Amino acid sequence: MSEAAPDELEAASEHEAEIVAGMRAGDSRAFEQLIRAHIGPLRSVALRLLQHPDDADDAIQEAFLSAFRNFDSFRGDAKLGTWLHRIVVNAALARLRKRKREDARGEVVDVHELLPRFLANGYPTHFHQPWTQTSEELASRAETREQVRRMIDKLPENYRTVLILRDIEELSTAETARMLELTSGTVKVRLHRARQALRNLLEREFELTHER
Amino acid sequence: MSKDEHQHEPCKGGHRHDISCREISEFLLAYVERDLDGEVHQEFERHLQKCPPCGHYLDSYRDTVELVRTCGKLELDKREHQRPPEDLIQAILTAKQREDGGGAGGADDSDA
Repeated sequence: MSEAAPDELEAASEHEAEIVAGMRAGDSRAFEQLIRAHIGPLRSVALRLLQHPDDADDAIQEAFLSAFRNFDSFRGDAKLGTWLHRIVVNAALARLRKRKREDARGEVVDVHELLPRFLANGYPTHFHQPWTQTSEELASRAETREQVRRMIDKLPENYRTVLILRDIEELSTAETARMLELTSGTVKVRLHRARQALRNLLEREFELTHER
Repeated sequence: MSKDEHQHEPCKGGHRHDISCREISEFLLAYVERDLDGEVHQEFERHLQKCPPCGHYLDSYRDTVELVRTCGKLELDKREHQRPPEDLIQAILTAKQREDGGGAGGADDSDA
């Protein structure tokens, strides 16, 4: 995230307090302000999970209407953006469950094919080498970031969703488990496999070792 | 590193691996998230010190997590600076007005 100066933070906090007060008073202008203040990043969240702009927009609409109807449940102990973020993630996941999206997807990789392999004695079949580029170097190029995004989209849905919620949206394991109606153990297994598979894809795609 | 190097260097230098490279790979998430018991955590560290390929794997695993996180944040920053989607904002406001207007007649049948 971009860093804000202390004055900007204070102004943002005052603006948020105004919105909250307006929402509690039933002021419809406050609802519009709430939307305008948060819709940009929240739309990115929905788009990342749903991948299709129309689906993302529907989820965003549902989420804001739900936030309006249930504003009483906003206690003020979390930031408004954090509260809305959870509502948007829930709306996007509900939409994801409803649709048969695998049919509409492009290439999907087999995660098990991308996991490390081992011999009976526990040694790997392949000895890992150091990467030739750091994550900072890779992330500094827009083209590479786009490729990473496409690689994440190649993961099967149940792995992709867990990876996004844990590593991009930065939800906890327990929260991810609750939202996806899974056990924490299942979330951990899927997250680990998703990371391992993606690690392998990155290494291959970007030729990150000196191996031939 | 050759297979010989891996087997002779880390495993026959007076230290026996109590956990295998396979276990390192399987429990890497628990290690990274500091979910392992103290003793197992120490065994993990001993293995990593003596087994460069597993150390490289751990580094690249962490780089993968960091890369995903950074790409996600940069994407968000980029979109935050884009113009708000006016059509969508108007659609939400219209939908809310519709809900407000239909509230008395019970038009709102959607879930929170």
